Amino acid sequence: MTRYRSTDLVALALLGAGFVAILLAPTDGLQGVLQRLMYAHVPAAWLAYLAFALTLIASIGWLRTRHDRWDHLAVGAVEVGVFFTGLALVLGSVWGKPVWGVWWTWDARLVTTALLFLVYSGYLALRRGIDDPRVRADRAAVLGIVAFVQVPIVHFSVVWWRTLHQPPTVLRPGDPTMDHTMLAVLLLNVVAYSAVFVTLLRRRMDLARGERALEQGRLAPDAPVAGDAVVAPLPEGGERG
Amino acid sequence: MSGGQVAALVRAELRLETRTGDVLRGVAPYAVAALVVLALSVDADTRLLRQIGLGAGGAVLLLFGAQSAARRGLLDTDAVRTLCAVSGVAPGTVLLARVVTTAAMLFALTAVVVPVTVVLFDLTPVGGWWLAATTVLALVGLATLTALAATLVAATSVRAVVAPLLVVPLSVPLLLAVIQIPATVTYGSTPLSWLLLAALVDLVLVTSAVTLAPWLEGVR
Repeated sequence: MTRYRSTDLVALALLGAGFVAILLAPTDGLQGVLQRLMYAHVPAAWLAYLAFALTLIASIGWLRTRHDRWDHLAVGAVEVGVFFTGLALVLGSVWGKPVWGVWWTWDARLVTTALLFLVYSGYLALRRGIDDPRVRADRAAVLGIVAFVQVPIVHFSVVWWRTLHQPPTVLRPGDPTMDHTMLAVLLLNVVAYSAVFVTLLRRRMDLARGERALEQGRLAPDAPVAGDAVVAPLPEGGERG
Repeated sequence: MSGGQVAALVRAELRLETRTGDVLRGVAPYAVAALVVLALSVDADTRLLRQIGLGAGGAVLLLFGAQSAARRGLLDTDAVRTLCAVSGVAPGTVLLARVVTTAAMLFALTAVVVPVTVVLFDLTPVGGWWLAATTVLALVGLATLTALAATLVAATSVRAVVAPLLVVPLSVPLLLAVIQIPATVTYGSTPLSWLLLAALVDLVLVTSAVTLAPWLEGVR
């Protein structure tokens, strides 16, 4: 039976509050209700950055210490990060069709985000192809470090290239260039999505621990099991077969 | 890191390639077939063919070059890897040998793809030395990335699928650097920034490869 933690319920409550705030937020003068997608799109993109930064830290942690918890954190963060990157791409595409007139365009932000999604999907595929836990963790950690180079490229793509995608409005020096009520709703949703992120990450790390224990059992089938040294008493005058 | 050891490993790898022909007899014909299909798909519109030619050639080279990461070479066999480890061959040496071997194969593949692209897409070389220098840098970067990916997927069941998935997205800056040169020259600008982009990507990849080689080769 699934056990629910208090953090799960907090995440659910925050998500509900965030959704209500989206409905109550002022409607954008130009884009209308479509702009409300931004309250989910932006937190998803930010949390993807956070997930891949955690992967970088966990990968370095694994290579330095070889503690399993770092590897569990890395795989958990990548899976959750790939989910949030995919969510940001899908929501952006749904918004793009009515506003830009196309589902997809060759814009630097879009292309670099899609590449980010592919690289970390490759990370997950690589892990699935290696049976030895230590080799898998080593190679995944190397990729987790190299792949992070894409994150600053995605973030600064709107600054380095002329793009259709708008430049940063909040993660920039100076006052955010958006209405402060909208900003408050956005920040509430960032908190709500972060709570969901933490919940998913903890669940995935629990799962990774379970998978690791299962692998250890499978890789050492001949190791003595608990109680192996205890033998049944022989009957009077009997012989052990 | 020993130059003699790198040379010996590269020689052995290239000898194996001349026997098996994985890249030149296996991958190269498919790359040519892909170019033919691409050219056919835009009909007999020469203007459009000229417009997309360099990009199509670059994309084919990238996609099929990435296939060389999926090739099972000498350094992918457990026996040779163990021999290198117990003989004291440094992990950096093994990785450098992979880079040099892959670079040699990519240059050979380029020698096949470029003339076919020029003929099929009616290309006129624009950019001269800028294009040549950036292409060389891009091939070195692609070779480093491919060698890294090949090491990551060595002795796994998913090498053929995962290796190109790792190489292609990370090599997009290299492809961009090459295909932007003619346009930049045509509009009268200096394509130095594209050359520097390719050099920067090379630097990042080589630094990563040298730093992470011990973990990749399972020495640490």
